[in-house]
Amino acid sequence: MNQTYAHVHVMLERAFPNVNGGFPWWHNDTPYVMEQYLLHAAGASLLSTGGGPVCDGRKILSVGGRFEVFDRVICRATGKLVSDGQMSKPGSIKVVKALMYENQKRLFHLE
Amino acid sequence: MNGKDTTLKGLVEALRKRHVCFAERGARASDHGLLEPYGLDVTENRAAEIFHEAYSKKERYGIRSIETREFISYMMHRFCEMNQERGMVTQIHYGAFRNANKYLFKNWGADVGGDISMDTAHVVENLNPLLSRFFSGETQNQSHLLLYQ
Repeated sequence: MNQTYAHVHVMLERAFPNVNGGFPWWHNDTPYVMEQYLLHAAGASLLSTGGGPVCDGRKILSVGGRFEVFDRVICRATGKLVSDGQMSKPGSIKVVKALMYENQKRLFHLE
Repeated sequence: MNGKDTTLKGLVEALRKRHVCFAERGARASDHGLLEPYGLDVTENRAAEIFHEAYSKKERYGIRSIETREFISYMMHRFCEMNQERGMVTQIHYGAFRNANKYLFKNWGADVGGDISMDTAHVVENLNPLLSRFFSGETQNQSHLLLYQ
């Protein structure tokens, strides 16, 4: 994760419909930076269009732990938006479903 | 290589065959680790010239050289073509300077904490031709690009 390019990704997503920001949880990732990225994307673009977390076979032993961290980060970020009145509770549930399941299913043709 | 054609066309054709092989077995995405995400418009003649210099004449181009930048750009266009044909997602991980600590790498190999995030990468300028060609949303059959920084 390199925050230097976060704004570039958010703007590329807006300009190109078929570009999606992958979730910043590889290399140099921290829960705080991941949360910050989600809040940045929510403020500047559409949080629900992100690619969400993906994993490959090299991380097979840590998949459960990794996804649990993401679950907690996305819930904390959307919880903050709801408590600030920037997102409805039903809207936050839709966002979490999109980022954790529906977007991957759609983008990677996993149906 | 395919064992027969050691030109750029042969390389691309061999990679295309491997791509089909993976796609037919259920592959859903390709993943490209790049220092910078290159996707400039480069002609086949130019890419073939660079390939010939490197493969036949053993020319060694630096990671930051214009030739490297152009050749990777050309190949990324080919990979995106292949992915689009098969409805596969293109993923690019960029901006990681690998194995910066040569001592760590020499003694313990890759992925032991010696990688560093790049301080600069020219993302938009380098990628724009690729994005405009493959990921503009112009047609329904375009596949997706996932960018990881």
